[in-house]
Amino acid sequence: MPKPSDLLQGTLDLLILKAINREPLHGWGIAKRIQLLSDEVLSVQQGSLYPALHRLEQQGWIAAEWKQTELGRPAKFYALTGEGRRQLERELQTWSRLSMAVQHVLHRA
Amino acid sequence: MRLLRVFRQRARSLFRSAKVDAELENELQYHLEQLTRENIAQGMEAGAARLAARRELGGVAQIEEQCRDQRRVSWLTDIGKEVKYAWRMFSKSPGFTVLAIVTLAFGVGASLTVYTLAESLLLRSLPYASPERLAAIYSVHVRRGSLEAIGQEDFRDWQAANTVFERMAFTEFDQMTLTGHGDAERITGTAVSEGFFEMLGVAPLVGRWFTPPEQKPGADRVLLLSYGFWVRRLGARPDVVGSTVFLSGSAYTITGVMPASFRFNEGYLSEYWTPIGYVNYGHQNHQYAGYARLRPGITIQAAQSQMTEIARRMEQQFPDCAGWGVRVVSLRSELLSEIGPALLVFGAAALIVLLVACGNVASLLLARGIGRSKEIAVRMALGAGRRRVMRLLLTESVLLSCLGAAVGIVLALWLLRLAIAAAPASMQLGAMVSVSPSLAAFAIVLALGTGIVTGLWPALRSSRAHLLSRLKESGISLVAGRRQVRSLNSLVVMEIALAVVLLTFAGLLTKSFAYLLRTDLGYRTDRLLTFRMSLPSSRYKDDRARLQFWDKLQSQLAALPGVVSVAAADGVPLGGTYSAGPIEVEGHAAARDWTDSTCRGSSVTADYFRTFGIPLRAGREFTAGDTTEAEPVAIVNETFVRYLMPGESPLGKHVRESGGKWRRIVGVIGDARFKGPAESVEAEVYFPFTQSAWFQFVALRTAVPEERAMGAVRNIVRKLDPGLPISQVRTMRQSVDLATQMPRALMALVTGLALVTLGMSTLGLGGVMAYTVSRRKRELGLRIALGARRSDISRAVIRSAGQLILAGCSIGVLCAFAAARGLEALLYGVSAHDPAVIVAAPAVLGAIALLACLAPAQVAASVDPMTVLRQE
Repeated sequence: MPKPSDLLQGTLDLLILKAINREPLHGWGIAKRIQLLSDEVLSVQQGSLYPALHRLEQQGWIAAEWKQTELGRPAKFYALTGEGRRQLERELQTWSRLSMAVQHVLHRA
Repeated sequence: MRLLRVFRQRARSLFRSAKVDAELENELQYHLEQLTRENIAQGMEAGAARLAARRELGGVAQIEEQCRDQRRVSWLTDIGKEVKYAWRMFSKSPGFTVLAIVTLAFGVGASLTVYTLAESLLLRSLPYASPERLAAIYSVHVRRGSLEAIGQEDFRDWQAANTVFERMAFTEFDQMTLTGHGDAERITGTAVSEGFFEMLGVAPLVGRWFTPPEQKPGADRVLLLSYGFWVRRLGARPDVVGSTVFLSGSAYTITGVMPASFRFNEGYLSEYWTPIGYVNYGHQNHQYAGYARLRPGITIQAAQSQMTEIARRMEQQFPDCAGWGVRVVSLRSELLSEIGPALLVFGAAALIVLLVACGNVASLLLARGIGRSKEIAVRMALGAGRRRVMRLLLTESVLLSCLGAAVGIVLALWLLRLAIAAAPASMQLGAMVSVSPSLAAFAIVLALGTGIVTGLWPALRSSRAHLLSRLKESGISLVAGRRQVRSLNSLVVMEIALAVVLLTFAGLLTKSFAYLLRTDLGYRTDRLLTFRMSLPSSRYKDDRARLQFWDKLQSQLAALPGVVSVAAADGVPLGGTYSAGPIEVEGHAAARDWTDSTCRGSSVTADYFRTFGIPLRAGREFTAGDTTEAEPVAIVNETFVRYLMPGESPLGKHVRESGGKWRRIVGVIGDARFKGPAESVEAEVYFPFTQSAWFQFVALRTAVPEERAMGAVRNIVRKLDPGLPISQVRTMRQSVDLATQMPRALMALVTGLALVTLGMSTLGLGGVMAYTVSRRKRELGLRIALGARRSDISRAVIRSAGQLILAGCSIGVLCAFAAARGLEALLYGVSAHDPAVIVAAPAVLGAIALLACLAPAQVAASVDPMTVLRQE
């Protein structure tokens, strides 16, 4: 299996917000989901996931709640707040602007 | 909404940190479990799966630490933890801690003292509305360039012509005898012109200002009391307004009491204020102190240029005004020029102490930091970031400086009490100096500032990570790191240089003070008692009454056991009174400018010169035969002859006060420094008491310790006239001490601080040398094992110390040479660049500093190669 490429600096926040957009997830679930949705191309550096979650929680963009997992063990589930949804919108716009700009550069160069 | 959520998060992180941490741990544990399960699912064996999971997740402790950093409150909880940790470090090395705290306490204490004095004296000492608009006004004798008192006639013309002042006023020293309230007492006060209180804008605490009719000549006498007098003599009764006190035999109605904070820069303690009536003394008169309040928006320069213009016009208009100008000086800058130089020197000394203290503590911390590098490396390996390590080290140094500052505040309070006790009573320093809220602010800034200044450099150095190399170090390197030693050395050199500067200051001030003490005053100060007592003219109306009283007093005092001679005079050296006027000499044209012929005049009894030990140079002293019926005579001093009749034989010539009788000069006496050792000798003329019976002072020369006579003297005076107050009872030695109080206090303070600095810098040097030696023990052991002689080794240590001392002393001498200029105004009989002091200061310091290095050198020489090398 080829080594998954590292995440682009600063996109981790975006990916986390996007990953829990549909339903609340715990940390392990978020890591797995990002890996899954990117067809195993992106892998979250496990070590940097939790500080990022902490940061987002401190910003008030996500809220945490202890719930039972499907296996019956309690885990910390993260969900988007209203402000978090707006932040996701902003980050998505920034991202598409950035990626379009990169596309332009690559095509015209 | 979001803010609320954020706030709740922070509060939770701060106050429920244990719970938050447990949750985090739980969360990471869950992650690990999942990873392990996944690995097992992929076919790994359980143990290997767990290890692989751990590897993939990374250090749990680091992640937890990173998460904590994200919480944004970590700095608060961390500081709490670091303070606790620092405290534990301190209690583990009490020697270092006490040394650092004491060092910082000296620095902070001295700085706080200077700050309080400066703030109280310069910023708060003018308790009036907009004090920056207040100015003092002087007459200027243009040719001499000297500032002189002003006269009423001049004042009136200035007042009429100027447009720059809102109000003007003048004052005069005044003295009266209080009777009718217990013992008679001589009290000093101030006579003030119309508009004085209005100019200052200070309302009385009780009662009212004088009304305009009360200030006209011939009106009923009124006065305002000082708060101190009101409390002391009238029991602070609020109903004193409107009541009467008897002063010098006249009834005065009290119109009010001034507040306790009220004072004006008269240079003496004013117990009362009373109006000055207008008297036309002509334009020649100069006897009052002038003051004015500038109109808003007018600068001192603008006021000065208009007054100069007015004075020029008056010179043409009135012959007596020729040669006279006006000077307008801001009251604050005048105050500054009086105490500024002393405060500046004291301030510089305090700053030096603070700097050396900071340097000393910084070098202690730096040396400790080098020793602790392994501990710090371990911390960083365990996940502490560089900022975290710096914060830990800074917390230590700030905590240290806060403790130092706390001790420093106590020290400052003690120093302030010392300063108050040392200052002349007339400065009322005790009432002026108070601890203000801004002092607390200054102390906090100082504590944090010194903490950061002392800690920053060592912290930066120690937190610079070379993890591997540090961890590999055995803790005792073969040779101490060169760069670290260089930082230590430069700190020590700075400390030594500063100590040399302060020692030079102390040396100059001490030499100057010794000069003052050695100065020949011209009179003998031992076994001489003086006190102040004068006869009120209301009861002793003429010369005869006063002569009769003196005859009785003199014979009874002279009969006392142990009394050698008794004299009276209307002024004694260092007594604080002074009267002078123009003198005309026979055969010389009257000087057109009276200031050229001004000399001090005094009426003295026959035994005056003998009592004071002033030698007779020619002719005779006064005798009982110089009565009012006999020929008027006078005695002059040598300076009088030199200035007013140079090259002539004075005996037999005649002199007179302007408008007085011609008197024949019958004697010449030696010069005496009337105003104190720092002042020059003036021309003096003496008149016999028997021809001009005025006196204010009585002096006794005794064969026994002079204090013993005082009780008997009081009894005699009380029996003769119970209404006569005795004040200013002093031995002549006490008077000299009083006159030299300021230079003495300044010398003592600066010398004390210099010794503290000397101690600190030698300790610093000794400490650094001891530290270097202990770091080099292995190298030294190796050298000895290889055959180096022990004497060579101790010599090498002393040589390297000597280099530091030499560098510090050279820099110090250069700095001292440049800085000594600022001292010039405070030095008597010593040049600011006195070669002996400039050489002695570094020599003394160098010798003591070398002594401090003997112990480390001894340690270096006695290193046992076997023990040291076996330590590996």
